[in-house]
Amino acid sequence: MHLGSIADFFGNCPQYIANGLANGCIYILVAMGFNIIFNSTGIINFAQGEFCMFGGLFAFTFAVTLGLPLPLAILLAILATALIGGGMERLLIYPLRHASIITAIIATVGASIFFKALGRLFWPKEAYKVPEFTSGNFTVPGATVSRQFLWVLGLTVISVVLVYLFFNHTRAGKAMRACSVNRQAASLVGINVSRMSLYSFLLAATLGGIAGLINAPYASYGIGLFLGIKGFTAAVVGGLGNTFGAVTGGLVLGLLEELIPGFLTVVLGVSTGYKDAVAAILLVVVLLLRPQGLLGKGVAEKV
Amino acid sequence: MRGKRTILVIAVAAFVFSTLLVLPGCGETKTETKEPIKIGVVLSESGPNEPLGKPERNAIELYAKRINEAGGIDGHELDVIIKDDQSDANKAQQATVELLDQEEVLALIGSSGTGTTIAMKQEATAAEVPQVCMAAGANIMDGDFTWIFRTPPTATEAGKKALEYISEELGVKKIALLYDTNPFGTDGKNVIEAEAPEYGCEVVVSEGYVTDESEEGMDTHLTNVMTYNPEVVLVWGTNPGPAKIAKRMKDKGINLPYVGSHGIANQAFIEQAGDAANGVIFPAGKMLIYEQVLEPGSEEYEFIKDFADAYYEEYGEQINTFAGHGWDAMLIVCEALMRGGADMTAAELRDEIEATEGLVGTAGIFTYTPEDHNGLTPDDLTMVEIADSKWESAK
Repeated sequence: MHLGSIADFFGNCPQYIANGLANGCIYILVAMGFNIIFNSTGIINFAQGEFCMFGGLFAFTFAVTLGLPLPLAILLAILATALIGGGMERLLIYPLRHASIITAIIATVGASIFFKALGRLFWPKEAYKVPEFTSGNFTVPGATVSRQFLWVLGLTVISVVLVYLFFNHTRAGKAMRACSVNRQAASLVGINVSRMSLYSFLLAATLGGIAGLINAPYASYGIGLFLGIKGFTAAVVGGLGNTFGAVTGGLVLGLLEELIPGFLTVVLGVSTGYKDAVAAILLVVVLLLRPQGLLGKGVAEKV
Repeated sequence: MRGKRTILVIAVAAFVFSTLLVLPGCGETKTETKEPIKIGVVLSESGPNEPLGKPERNAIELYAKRINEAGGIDGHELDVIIKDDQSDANKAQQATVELLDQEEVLALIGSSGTGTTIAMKQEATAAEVPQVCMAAGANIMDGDFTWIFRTPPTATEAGKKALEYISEELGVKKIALLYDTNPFGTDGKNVIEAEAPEYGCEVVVSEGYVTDESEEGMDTHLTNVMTYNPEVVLVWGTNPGPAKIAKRMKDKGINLPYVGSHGIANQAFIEQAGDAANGVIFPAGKMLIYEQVLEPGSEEYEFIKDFADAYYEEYGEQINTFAGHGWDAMLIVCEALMRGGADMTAAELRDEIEATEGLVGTAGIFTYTPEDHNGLTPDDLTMVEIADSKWESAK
């Protein structure tokens, strides 16, 4: 049992916060994907993590295997992932539109397994190095941060703002939200429910693809479960279906995941090696104390 | 209706063809009169351990081919029956039962991973048939290991080799250990923490990580362990975690020696870590850089060279560690058969394998004793340094 100093811990804090922010951004993007699909269809999409997997792996294929210029490779990777999301909706979710929500959720579990198998089939290695947008790193007082981090932060902020504006200030976005409240009522007032469902999958896959791309520069077929669980936790902690909830949940999870193990190792001298437990504990605690999530509202929704 | 009939026709055709295949005399015509020696192999040709199982299969098939071309063992052909366990313990167990009950094999080889090996061990031990495995998990030898032998080096040999290097070559004491929380990493952690005092070293902090964590996550682990002022960072894991840690160490300007495990003794680590791989030192079988560390003309050198050439000629690929494990497994079984004769019972074959002494293989020189079925020592490993993205001897 070693008792370190509190001073060491606080000295490390800038680094922990930077790392937590970087991971938190990825979680936010994944959480928003969960939210968008949940908001328009009521489905929890368990294949959301696999969208991230595809984003990273496609980026590798386009940028490294085919040697395309990076910006083009990234756009193509996002597009390809979006198409997979759209295809999944048309081939799997749309035929189940008259079934219960739980049936569709189970179908997404199947899709997740299928996607992972596809990933393993075409990209069998344990990790592929995806080029960073800008390599190198810089130092701020107390922390070393990679340049990639700025992209992560920037793209996440832009995505959050765009998604928020879309859902709250555009007809299509409002229509999508209406679908989740009551599909029948939405279709009675003239909203094309099945098209909204397609849009939501396209959008969620796009966000997932972006998350997979900017997630520190390694892609592998196994990353889907890892990111999916983290993103889902962030979404539930913040309040499922709430854009700012996703932001809150992602940041809370990202920061706690670095600060708690840091505190344990540096101050108390116990290294658990189970950083992932932070997400699990956080999820359980939030579900017990505030089932609707930190920013969750009641059930009534005004659209 | 039509669809149903088509399916029926296909099913009947499949049945007819499958019976044709198993009928004696429909396959190849057998010329030799002696009973073939049956060896059952279970390995992971699909699933997560596919990168292990494929080269293992290649090596095993090539070894058997060479033996048979040379007239077999005492005139008995080797009949090697290979089954894929899909990296799944239940399937490994099922495949083992089939090999034991239906094929009545004399010896078993397998499997690629630790979980599947343990599943096989249960059946092999119950049936009292010797098993030579190609997996490195420490818990394989837990309990009764009478019937099981091993070819790869384990965390024990690799850990001791790394500690020896840290204390004797680097001349430092304070180790920060970063280990993967998977079985490979925790095996290493247990060995390092137990053995460090023996080498006059101290593990000042050990921290587990998950290999899927982002670089930022790895950064936090590094930040944590650096507060303990270590003199060397020892990273025990399989790809890609160690590559992320190497990269972040370089980014943060941590100028401590980075010592890895044999889990990074592959090209993938160099690809993933890029420039950050340079300067990384790890223990590995001598096969990895045999041209640098073994004397041409020595038995070990010639053995590996012969294997490398034959493998390349057959498959057009360079040998790797896993192919080596498959080659060694066949070597151990066949050498025991040659010493004791082809008409041995399974129990006699087990005793003969246990009597293996000073047998030169790809992973080192195998000596089994009743107390030790691992067969290798830390001296069979060598420390490798990555310089200019290539493997060099660290001595």
